[in-house]
Amino acid sequence: MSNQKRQFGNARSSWLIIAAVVVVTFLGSFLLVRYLRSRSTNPLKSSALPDVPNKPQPLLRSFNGCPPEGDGGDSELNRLKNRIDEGQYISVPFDAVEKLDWPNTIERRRRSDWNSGDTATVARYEGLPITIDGYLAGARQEGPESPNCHGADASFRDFHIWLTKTAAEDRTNSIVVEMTPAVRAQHRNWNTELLQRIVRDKDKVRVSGWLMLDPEHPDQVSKTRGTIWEIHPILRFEIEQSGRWIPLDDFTP
Amino acid sequence: MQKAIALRVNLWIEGEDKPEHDFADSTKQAVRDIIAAGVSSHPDLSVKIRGIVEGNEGDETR
Repeated sequence: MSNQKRQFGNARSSWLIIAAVVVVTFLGSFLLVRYLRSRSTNPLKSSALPDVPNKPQPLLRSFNGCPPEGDGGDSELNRLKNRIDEGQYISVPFDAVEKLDWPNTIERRRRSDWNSGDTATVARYEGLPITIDGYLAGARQEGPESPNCHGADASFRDFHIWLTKTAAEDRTNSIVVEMTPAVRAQHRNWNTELLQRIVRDKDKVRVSGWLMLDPEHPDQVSKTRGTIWEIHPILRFEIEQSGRWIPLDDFTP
Repeated sequence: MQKAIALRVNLWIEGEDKPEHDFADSTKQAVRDIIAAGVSSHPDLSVKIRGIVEGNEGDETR
């Protein structure tokens, strides 16, 4: 009889433990999901970036047969990369962009798959026409990419440029700023040779263009870039020379 | 002795295509077809494609 009672007691303890594990697991999952959701929909706040609710719509045109959507990948992102319009640029401190957060739930996802909270969060600052001063840690021609219809010719490639806050920095805390084919075609002097000379000479530069979030490179943050926020495309590029800002087209080292 | 290896192959592919057509999609399929066709000349090897992803010449890690 006492053995039977003991067995019954053991069985009851086991069921209680299982029930406790199930409850803790369920509660833990619930709290984790709640935490992740709150992280992904928290509005970004920046005291250094202005709130501009009605931002200009991108002006888009095909470039040498390549439509603004490109030939694959994220067509919405490609349309942002391929805008060609000038803006009323607002000068912002380097850190305002380099320290600007983003919802981690958008990383490596196409815009069509973002939830409405994340879309609204990013839209608060994306599409701002901004100007940032800094120095160049590197400049390179990209390979063929979907926004440029995988064009094999060099005229279809982006220039990938790393902007840093000070002259003596590497790319770790840089902001990636990009020159696109359609904009480059309007400038006779936008070439990698000249950009690399500016890198070497540590000239101060002023970059103006559209603030854009590129969700494709989060793995590179704190390695080869400081943020996935970019100035993309660049519309104006100037160099400081004898206390004056000279457009890259007119710049002679 | 049975051996195995995972190879990374870096291909550069050029060809004519309509501007708006997804070149990544069609070239990935072409590479699958090319490998499938070539496997028959090596019946002693079992070749499985584990994945084909688009690379980038201007990869940030370089």
